[in-house]
Amino acid sequence: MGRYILRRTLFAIPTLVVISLIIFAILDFAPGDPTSQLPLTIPAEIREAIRESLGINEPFMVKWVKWMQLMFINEPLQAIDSIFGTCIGDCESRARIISWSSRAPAVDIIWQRLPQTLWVLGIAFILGILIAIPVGVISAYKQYSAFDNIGTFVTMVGYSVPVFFTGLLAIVIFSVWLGWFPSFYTTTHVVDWTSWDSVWFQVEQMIMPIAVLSLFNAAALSRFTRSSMLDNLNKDYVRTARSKGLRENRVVMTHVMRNSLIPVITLIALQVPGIFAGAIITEQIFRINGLGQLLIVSIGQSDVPMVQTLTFMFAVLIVVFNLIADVTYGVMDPRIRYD
Amino acid sequence: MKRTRLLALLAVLAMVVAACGGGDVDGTTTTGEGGATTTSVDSTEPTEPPTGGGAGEGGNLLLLQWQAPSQANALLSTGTKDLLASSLVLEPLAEFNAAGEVVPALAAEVPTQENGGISEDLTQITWTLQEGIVWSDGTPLTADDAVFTWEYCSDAATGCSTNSYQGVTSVEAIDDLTIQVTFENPTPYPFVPFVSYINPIIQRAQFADCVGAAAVGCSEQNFAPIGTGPYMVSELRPEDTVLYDINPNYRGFDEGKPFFGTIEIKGGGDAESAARSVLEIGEADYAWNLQVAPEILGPMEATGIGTIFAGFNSSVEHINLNQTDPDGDPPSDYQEGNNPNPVFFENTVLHDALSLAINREEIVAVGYGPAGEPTCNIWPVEGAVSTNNDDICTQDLEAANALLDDNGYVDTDGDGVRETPDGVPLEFDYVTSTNAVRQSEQDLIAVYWEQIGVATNMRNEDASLFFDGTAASDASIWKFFTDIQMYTNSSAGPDAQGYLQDWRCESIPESTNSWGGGNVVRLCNEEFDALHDQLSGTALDDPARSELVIQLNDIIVEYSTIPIINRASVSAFANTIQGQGDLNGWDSEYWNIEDWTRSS
Repeated sequence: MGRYILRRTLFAIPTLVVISLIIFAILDFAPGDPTSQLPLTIPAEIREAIRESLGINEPFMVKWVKWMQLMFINEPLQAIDSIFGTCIGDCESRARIISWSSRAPAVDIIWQRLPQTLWVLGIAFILGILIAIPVGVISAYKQYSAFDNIGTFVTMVGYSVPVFFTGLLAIVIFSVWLGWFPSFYTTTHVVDWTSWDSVWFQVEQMIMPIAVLSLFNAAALSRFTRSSMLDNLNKDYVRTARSKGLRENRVVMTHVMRNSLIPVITLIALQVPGIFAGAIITEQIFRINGLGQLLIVSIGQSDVPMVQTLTFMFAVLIVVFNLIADVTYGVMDPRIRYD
Repeated sequence: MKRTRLLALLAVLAMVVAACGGGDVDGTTTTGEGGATTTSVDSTEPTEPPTGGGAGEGGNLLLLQWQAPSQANALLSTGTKDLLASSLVLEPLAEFNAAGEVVPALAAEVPTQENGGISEDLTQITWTLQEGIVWSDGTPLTADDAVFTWEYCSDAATGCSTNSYQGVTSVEAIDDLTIQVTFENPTPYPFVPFVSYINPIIQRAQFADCVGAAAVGCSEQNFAPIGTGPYMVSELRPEDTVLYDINPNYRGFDEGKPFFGTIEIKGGGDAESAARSVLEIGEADYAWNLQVAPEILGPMEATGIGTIFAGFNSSVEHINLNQTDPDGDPPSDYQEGNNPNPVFFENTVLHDALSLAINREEIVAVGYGPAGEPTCNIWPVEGAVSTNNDDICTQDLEAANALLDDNGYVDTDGDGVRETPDGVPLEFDYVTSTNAVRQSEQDLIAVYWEQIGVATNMRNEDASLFFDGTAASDASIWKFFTDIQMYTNSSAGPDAQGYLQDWRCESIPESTNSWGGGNVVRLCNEEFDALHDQLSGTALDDPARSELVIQLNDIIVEYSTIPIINRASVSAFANTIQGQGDLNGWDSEYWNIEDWTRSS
């Protein structure tokens, strides 16, 4: 197992280098102008001077090598320095990946936005799992019962109605009509756990996006759990377990569920990078300025360094969680051995 | 036993996510709660003790800018969103009021020839600072800071996004309070450098190490510039939120200005959701740039808790008819190096017929509401509005058809599309940027033109490509590789001279000048250039000036350009906000924020 993980990790490095090159090439070939939002009265020579000051006109390979150096050497050093308060090399004037629109270090902006994305998407994700698995298991065990039918209906609605509709509906009902919750998310709110008002403020602003997102997450996952359970319920080993005289509870909860959840766990692990990537549409509707919204805004402003850094970080997360999913699979199912 | 292992795994996963989420406390100092929630804002405690006779007593003011600021240094702005964020902090010598008049900000008075501020030969302007103005850090503002601002932007490597210092040969500090700006040529309208929120003064002490290539490493300075304005940035999150505290060194502080102690600019979402927050929910005090269809905005306003404000300036949505000279030199690279279908070249008949076919009132009703007024002039600003084009401004399909019939544009093959006298069908490509309002406008215009036998192929390009000045995108307005394009343009200030310069022959974008140049429609008219030269030598108080502007306007709209709508900037205010006056279309909409108050 250890050798397998090591091999996979080493293999991930060239994969990521290739990914970064592809991201870079696509963005380099895509047209776009960071000065396109300036008034039309700004003449061409001023626009050119702005682009020159951003370093946009350097050759492709030069830009890529520079970015690689910043991403793999300077940014990790900066992270170490800021975590441990050290100063490695020229920590005062270290070159960073600079966003073209804000002219600030891209990684700092990403770091600043990570909390709200994780708060909302993380909670919605966990809540989704906590709803989906029991619903899926019960639906399968009592197939075609009233519970299964209602569950199927609700999950199908949750799965097929898009988030931009349910989100807007929630805002119209709970913000416009009832006035219960704010329609946008205050990212600068710092939760003070000793103050009830402060915690309640955070709950109020999170409740709608989380409800909308967990409905969507739970819908897909519970369908998957249900069908996986159904596959196993009719297997021979279940009949054997029952004929041994095991109690029904133990048959379902231990034997069937354990086997059914193996693919579900893999699916969950593969969805984790999505928490970091943000839910672009949900973030846009509820004005949660997280990473998904940052990506969209940066694309709109042709802020290439920001888009490169964000997409590359998503790529790293996907590679890492693929590895974790594979390893988990081995842990969960003793029949699978990688060595 | 085995089940517990599964549960443990889930628990670990949950803890990892929760731990990351708990990182919300990022060590930055903030003013705590964001402010205006659905509950009463008035109960919010003022963060500053009211030492200044009432200044800061108003609590928090929540401004929604769905396009959020990237940074707060106007000189490096990437768009109006940054200029607005900067205008609460940084101030120019003079600014424009809602009527477009120059009013002093940091200057003691507006220089004129009478008070000796503008030299006889129109090449020098001398400003005097108000006495006793200090930066928010307590140090005095001096003329040297203005000199530095000019040096900062004169270094092309800084990448300043203002062209206001072009044509300025020197900026000198005569004494601590006197600034002398010298222009290369006589400049009858000298209120460009250091005027309006585009050109504020920055502090030498703060930005001294940020000139030229060093500007890149100055995000700290750009995020929280030291200014003279009513507020100071306390925290800036790019493309998200800006928080401001009151500036205790502000010159109006002792008179109880500004009223609001803190300000929050919140970004994200879109124009419609911002409008809803102010007009329907009442959870914010102001929402900026609401280009939303009137059928949506109208019912929102009818809720009665907020009001829509429109601020007009020189913005005109117009149609360009490609004026590439078919015999011109050099070829425009239009369609693989060939010059275009020459039908629009100096063709007043086709221009007038196309203009006559358009029902501007209907376009306003469908797409703009309070945000637009029909116009037939490229310069629609009070004081120099031409009335010579009113005859082609109102829809008259009969007249348009007759005009085409009389000039030999008839449909000879019966397909519903007219042909030119040479037999070329009147079928054109019609391009604009991707935007819901523009597409409905395009649909309407295509239908109008169909009724006079002109066929159009409508296309739309993403705004980032349509306004892409890098010469990489063939869809850009500057290349104009098509027949007809539609967009909005406006001048930087209320004087037409600098703006109209963009229609001179030498400003035509071509492959030889890397497609630089503002004469997008490619109009080249000797009379225009001669009149513009004359305008450049006419003093500001000379009545001939507005006459010249009208004549120049008339040449532009004679055959090359069809103006459609004079567009306003549209914002919404909560009804409790008072003192903002008319919406300022010429300068920052926050230009008088120190006068805003909240009624109970």
